[in-house]
Amino acid sequence: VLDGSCEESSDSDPRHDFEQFCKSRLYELQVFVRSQCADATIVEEVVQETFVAALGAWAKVGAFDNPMGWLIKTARLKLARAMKQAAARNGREISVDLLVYQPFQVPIDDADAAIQLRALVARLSPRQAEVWVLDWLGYPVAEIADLLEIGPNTVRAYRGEARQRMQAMIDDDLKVRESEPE
Amino acid sequence: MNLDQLVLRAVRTKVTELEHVHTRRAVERIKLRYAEAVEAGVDVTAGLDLTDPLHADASVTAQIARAAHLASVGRFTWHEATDEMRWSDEVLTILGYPRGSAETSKTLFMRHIHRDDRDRACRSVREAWTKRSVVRCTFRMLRRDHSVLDVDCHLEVMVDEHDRPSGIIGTVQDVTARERARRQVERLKRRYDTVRTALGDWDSDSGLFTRRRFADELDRALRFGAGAILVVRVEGLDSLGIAARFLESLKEPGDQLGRVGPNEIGVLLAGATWARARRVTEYLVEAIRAQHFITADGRVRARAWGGLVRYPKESQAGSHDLLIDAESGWRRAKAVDRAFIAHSQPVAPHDRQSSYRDRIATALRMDRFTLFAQPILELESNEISRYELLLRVLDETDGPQPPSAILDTAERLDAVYEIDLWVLERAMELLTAVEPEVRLQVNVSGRSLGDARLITEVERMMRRHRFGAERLTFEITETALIGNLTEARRFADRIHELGCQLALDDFGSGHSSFRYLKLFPIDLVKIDGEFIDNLVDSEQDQVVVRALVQVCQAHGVQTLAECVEDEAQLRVLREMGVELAQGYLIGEPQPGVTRGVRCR
Repeated sequence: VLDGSCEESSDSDPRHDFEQFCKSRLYELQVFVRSQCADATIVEEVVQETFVAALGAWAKVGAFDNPMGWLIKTARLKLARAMKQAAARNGREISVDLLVYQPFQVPIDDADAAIQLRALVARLSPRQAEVWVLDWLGYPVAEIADLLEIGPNTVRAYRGEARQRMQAMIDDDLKVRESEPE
Repeated sequence: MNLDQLVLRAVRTKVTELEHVHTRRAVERIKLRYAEAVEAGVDVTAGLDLTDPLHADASVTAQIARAAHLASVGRFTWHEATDEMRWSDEVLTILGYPRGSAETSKTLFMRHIHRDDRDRACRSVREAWTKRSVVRCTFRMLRRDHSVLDVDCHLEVMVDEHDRPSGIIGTVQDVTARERARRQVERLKRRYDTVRTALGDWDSDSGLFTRRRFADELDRALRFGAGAILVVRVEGLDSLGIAARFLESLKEPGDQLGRVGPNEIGVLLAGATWARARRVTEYLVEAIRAQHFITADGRVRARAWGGLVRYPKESQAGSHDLLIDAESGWRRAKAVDRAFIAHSQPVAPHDRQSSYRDRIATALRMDRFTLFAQPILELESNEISRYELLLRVLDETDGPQPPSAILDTAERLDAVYEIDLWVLERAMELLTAVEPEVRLQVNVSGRSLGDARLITEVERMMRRHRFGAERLTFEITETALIGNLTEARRFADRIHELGCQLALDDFGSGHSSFRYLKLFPIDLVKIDGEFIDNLVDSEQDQVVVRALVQVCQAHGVQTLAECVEDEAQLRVLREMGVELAQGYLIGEPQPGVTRGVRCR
């Protein structure tokens, strides 16, 4: 769930304790990786591998102001590799299941709102999704640009596109529902 | 509903106790895996950059330079103010010059871009400049020794301190090998597709029955009485072969195995009781999950799910239906995280069909299908004035993929009609949008040809979209399972009356070729790529093509050569009097229609 569980983040502590850090930021990384990959198994694997690597390099990484930057970058690398392998293994086989998503509905409660939001993000292009999620997690444009190795203007462009597209998805899906007979 | 409201509500969600437990478990697993890796002497940070990306000394330019250096791709920069262009030594290496040898200049760089691709490359630069975003393009470059290479190019705009664009930074990477491999694979796949029916019963990788043969075995078993069919999905292994051999060693003598999909093994439990079938399923899936497979990468664990379907004596469902049910079983198992899902009877045909149709309909509504256009060259005028429209499916990364697997199932489940209508509608929209000289060729499945509704629908669409009817050509495949021949003929005749054209696809690869020429009012014959591949060297193929052209000319039918990949082939085809050519030499399928005159 896109659940903003980074609220108990330990940013104030300059020397991060790995276990504490891992507990509080695991969701953040999951949210990010999920926005890039529909396969839950791959997501799980990439998140774990990234934290394992972080633990291996914690003497260095733990001393960064915000180690998340390094984790996000590493996760992107690992995810790209994992998706490539998965694609090679599956022989580019695609099933119709992957092509279909749930249309947006007015959420019944806050938890449902989180689920619906996640579904919308999944329908963005990978680039739009990663920019949107990082923006949503509170990263400033300059940092997003550094993390994704693109220019700040490009970040702004993707962010705008993502917002527009998501709002359009909401409007379209609700319109379709309204026009359907009871 | 407003997006911001939704975001606000979503953020209010509290973390549940269950999620806390999950997190704690995950942290434990991470520590455990790290300990295991240390014990095994694995360097978990191997190949990773250990600097803080948020505090690198880094302007974007420096970062791209570093990344380019790491990946050994060439890099170039162009400054608007001075119109100066510089490039790194890697570019020289790619172009076949010794390092540090040549002057760097814009003209020199442009001269190395393949003449046919120069316009496109310039367009991409302009696009990056005006949109101020990253643009990726692939074009051909000429090496110093005049050999051609394919490069992948990323372009990004540099900005000065006032946020105004000041230049372009780009990377080029030699992807010739990759492109060649891709073309080779495509070619092999095409060949495989055409000769599939003649291929063997054994899958070379796994040593198991192929899906077709396995389905035959299943059909035979269906005649003898009740039993069950299991499909196991295996993920995480590079080759299904080891999993196949493993299952081979576990299965009981009477049970048969088959490779039913790229990562799927079917197990035919003929005559098994339901209790035994479930037991076997649980045992096999658990065994694969528990096994340490030895591969080149060391010991590897595989993920596995099963879908089990019981079939009764004299089952209404055929082998393909049962396989589809078992496959949707493992998909469901994967989705709900269970080892396997068992259906105690085949899914009702109506449900199977309608759930599949629903998914197709939703995919269509969600724009998950798209059309690519492959240019066709008129040899006489050397002009590209027609295109074949090819269906592509966007996968989860929005990358276009050939839809063969989806179409195959859709044809079997009679759900292909909606897709065909969608293609026709788009084709007609396109015809009204492009220049009036452009002709389009669309593929229609044999199933839909035999569907009486199709012609009425086409007539209605043509009234809605106004265009010269002769600009639309329907391609039909002789190997297609034409459902209802009488209906298909009626369709073909009516299409002709409306003024549209009819093309016969893959001519020469099936059995009833010449009969079709008499049956249908054909305007165009597409000579199968099988005869074109070795045309230059093979005298037999030359004889066949020459004869085909003569026959067609006698019938007043145009001829088109598929899969034309080099100039030599084109020369031979010209001599023989073939009128149209299609293939990678002319152009690959692309997302739009761009009309143009061939330079040579």
